[in-house]
Amino acid sequence: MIADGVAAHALTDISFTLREGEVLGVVGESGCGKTTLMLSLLRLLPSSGRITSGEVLFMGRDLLSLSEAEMAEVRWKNIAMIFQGAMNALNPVHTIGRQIGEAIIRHNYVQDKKLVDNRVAELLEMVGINPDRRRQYPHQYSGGMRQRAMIAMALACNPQIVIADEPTTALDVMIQAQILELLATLQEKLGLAVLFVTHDLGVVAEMCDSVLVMYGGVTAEYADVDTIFNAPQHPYTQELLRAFPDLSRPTGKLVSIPGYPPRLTALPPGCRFAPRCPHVMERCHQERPPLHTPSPTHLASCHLLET
Amino acid sequence: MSAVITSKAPPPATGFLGFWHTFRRNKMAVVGLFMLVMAILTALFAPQLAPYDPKAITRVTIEDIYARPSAAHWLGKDDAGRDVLSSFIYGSRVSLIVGFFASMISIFIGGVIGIVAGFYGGRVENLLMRFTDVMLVIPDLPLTVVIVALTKPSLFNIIFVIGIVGWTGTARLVRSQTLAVKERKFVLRARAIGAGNLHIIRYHILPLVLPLLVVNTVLIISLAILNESTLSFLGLSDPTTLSWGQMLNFAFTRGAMSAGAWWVLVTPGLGIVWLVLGCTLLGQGLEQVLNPRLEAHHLAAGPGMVARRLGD
Amino acid sequence: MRYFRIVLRKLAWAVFTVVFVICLNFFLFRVLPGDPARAGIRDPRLTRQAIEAIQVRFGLDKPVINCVESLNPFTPGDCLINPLQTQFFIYVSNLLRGELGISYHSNRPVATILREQLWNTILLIGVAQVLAIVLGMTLGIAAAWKARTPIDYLALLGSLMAWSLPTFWLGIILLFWGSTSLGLPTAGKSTPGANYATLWQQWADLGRHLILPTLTYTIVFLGEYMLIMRSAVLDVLSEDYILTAKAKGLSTFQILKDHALQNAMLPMVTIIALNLGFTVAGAIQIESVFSWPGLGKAIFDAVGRRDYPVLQGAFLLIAVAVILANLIADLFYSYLDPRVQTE
Repeated sequence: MIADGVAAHALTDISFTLREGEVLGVVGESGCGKTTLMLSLLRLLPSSGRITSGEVLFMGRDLLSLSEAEMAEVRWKNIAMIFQGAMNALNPVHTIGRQIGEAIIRHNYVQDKKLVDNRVAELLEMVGINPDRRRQYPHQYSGGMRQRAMIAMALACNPQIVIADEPTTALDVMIQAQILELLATLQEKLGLAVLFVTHDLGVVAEMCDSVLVMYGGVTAEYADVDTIFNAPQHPYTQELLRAFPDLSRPTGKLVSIPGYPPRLTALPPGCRFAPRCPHVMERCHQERPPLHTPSPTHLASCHLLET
Repeated sequence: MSAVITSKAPPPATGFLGFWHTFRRNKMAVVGLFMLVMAILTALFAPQLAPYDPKAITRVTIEDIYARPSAAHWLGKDDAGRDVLSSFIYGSRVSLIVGFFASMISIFIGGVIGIVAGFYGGRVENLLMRFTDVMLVIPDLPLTVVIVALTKPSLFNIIFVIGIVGWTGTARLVRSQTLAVKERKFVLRARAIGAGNLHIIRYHILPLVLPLLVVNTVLIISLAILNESTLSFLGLSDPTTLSWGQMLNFAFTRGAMSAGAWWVLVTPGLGIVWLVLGCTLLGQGLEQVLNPRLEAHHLAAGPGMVARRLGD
Repeated sequence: MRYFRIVLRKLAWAVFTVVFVICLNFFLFRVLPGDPARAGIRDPRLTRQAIEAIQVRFGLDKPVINCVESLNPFTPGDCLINPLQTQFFIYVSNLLRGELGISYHSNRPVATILREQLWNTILLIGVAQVLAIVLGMTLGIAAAWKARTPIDYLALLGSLMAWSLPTFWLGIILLFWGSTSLGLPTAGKSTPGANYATLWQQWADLGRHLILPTLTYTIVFLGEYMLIMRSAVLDVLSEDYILTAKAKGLSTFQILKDHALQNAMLPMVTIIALNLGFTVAGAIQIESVFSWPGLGKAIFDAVGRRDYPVLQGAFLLIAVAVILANLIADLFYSYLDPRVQTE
């Protein structure tokens, strides 16, 4: 019964397009609003959250104007999600098979009970899990297996879009590589459009077609993967790349970005990156930079681009 | 697209002033404290508040038995022609005394067993917790009834028995908290620089177990009060001390029901409810203050999630 | 196989607890002044033959146990005697044969008296507990789902109020109200001297007698169960797998039914098991108020009559019943939580 509320604009002015079969990497430090953005797309924000403006167009329909029941139809059938930390995202008291089957039954992907079971087995096989293990519970799976099961669950109803929210955090490096490979293979095979949230630029370079760099809840830069890696325009992107080891420049120095990302309750008035930016100017502290378009497919929000 | 997240930031509760600041805004805790303070004041000033002396020997005529409430006797009279309001006011004393002292005994036993078990671990813990488990399973009230029935039902005995029966919950609670605190960095550090066990318990474990213990004490007090009234109602009270449970026992066994004397039946019960509810509210409130948790969850979001769009 | 081992371990633990309670029951009554056997011999209500019969039956001329002649006052005794010839052993072997002593008040075997009353108590507690659990859980889920809304606060306040009511007092008030304005029966489980033409009539009469005690019981426990369920569901609803379920497109009802309920049942079962003692406490009070002929009433009467054998027997029976119920709840828990069975 203690009520104190501070409204924080977790996200402002984010916009991007995801084409069929495209993999879009969403990059940024922790707490920059990546997960909030993903949950907003599915309208799954916590009760303290609210989408104040904008559109989410999916095949010509604005998801934000759907009723709650219509939205429930879209979830999983069209847009599925792989959550980070599969241990907590799976219900400990139901079998893996039941949890996957639940989504299939909910969206009438196949009707018959027998067919549902077959589909579950097929999905598990697809992600490299012995189908016999569908009768086991999450705690009987290893961490990597759970993430595989989570992927199988996401694919249950053949969605057009899969949102993968840092699917490999909390796994060890070997398993991470396996999971990423699995995701890449399935994406190609099924022609999925994937929104890939990560803070690992290496993964982005390998898997993604285009990249959205977020900072403090706003778009820093949005372009195809080549542009981002070869001609980044936003100082934040440049700094991120300098903090990331590049095999082609083995002698290059790794530099970490000093300071911390802003808290959403205490955002700077001007450019949100200004306090940490190496090229900061006077106006950066007062004026929020608009989105500039250095090229038709390239967005970046920085005052430097004006001149 | 734009979205906002409202973050709930409880102000830091450091020191007594910080605690009081949070406490004051918790309605449950404040109401509970008020109820408890009222009851304590009534008990303290019973001789000044009571219109009659319930122990005074008076001549009783047949009209006095279960006399209806009147201007002279606001809550009527009981089976012996005594003023119910005066007995009621004095009765608060027994409930509070028993509640306070019995809970002290329970908290002491439970606290010591919990801390020792949690802190020392190993065989000591195993033995103590097994014993606690056994005691936890044995139903409290029948055990209390048996012991009080076998000994002389004096106020002291009742306090003692309620106290030594009601410690099990506290022991388990304190143990789990001790276990959690024991692994904290500063305890490990204190141990590394060679601090003795007693020193660690006294200066590092106890301060962190204490808030929990305070909340628990308030709840144990309410249980002790309920237990005392039940024992008295079952006829196991000290006949020389006037308590609410005893008033109800007399009324129930001496024909208040058939006489329709609701005033004798209702009044003492309301007193018990007042005290127990006060303790419960205070306890629940304190728990919220000391251990705030976000009560928003994944199903709480409603159709209001998408606000009217400004863009079009 | 693993589940079988768990069951076996819990069973062994229950047996150990029962043994502890038997010892406690034996020594408590011998350490404290009211030694049932000895006090009984001095009890003027017994005839000379009865006293002799009791002495032989309970071995009262024998020492309490090896090394201890008597506990109140404490007198040490011979340690090298045959343990079979001690009061403790005779007590235990009598128990094993289902013999609990003889009531001072009615001169009937305690076991016979309590056997009838045990079933009455189980009937009363059974009906009321089922009602309280079902209603409490439903309200708890509703309050958690609507957390921090007026519905929730109202339910919360009501539960705290119900929790604070002394059971016996609520019983008195309901009895007073029910008998005067509703004309419901005030005592016992059947109308005295009634002749029933059909079995149906007999059941209807029993039902009428059950209304008030059950109502009292339900109100007292409803609040507690609601509070527990509310907090358990709140915990579960903030888990990540609820978000997954929602992302899968499940409706609120489906999520509550398939994902919240069973998970929230886990803490619920634990706490119901832990609170079985309170259940018994409630039964003693309610049976005393409504003169329901159960174990609680037996205790109430035994206290009033200083009928120690009945008190001792009833205490033992109640304690064992609670231990058994606890065991069942424990096993049910491991059935509900797959992690216990297969880890």
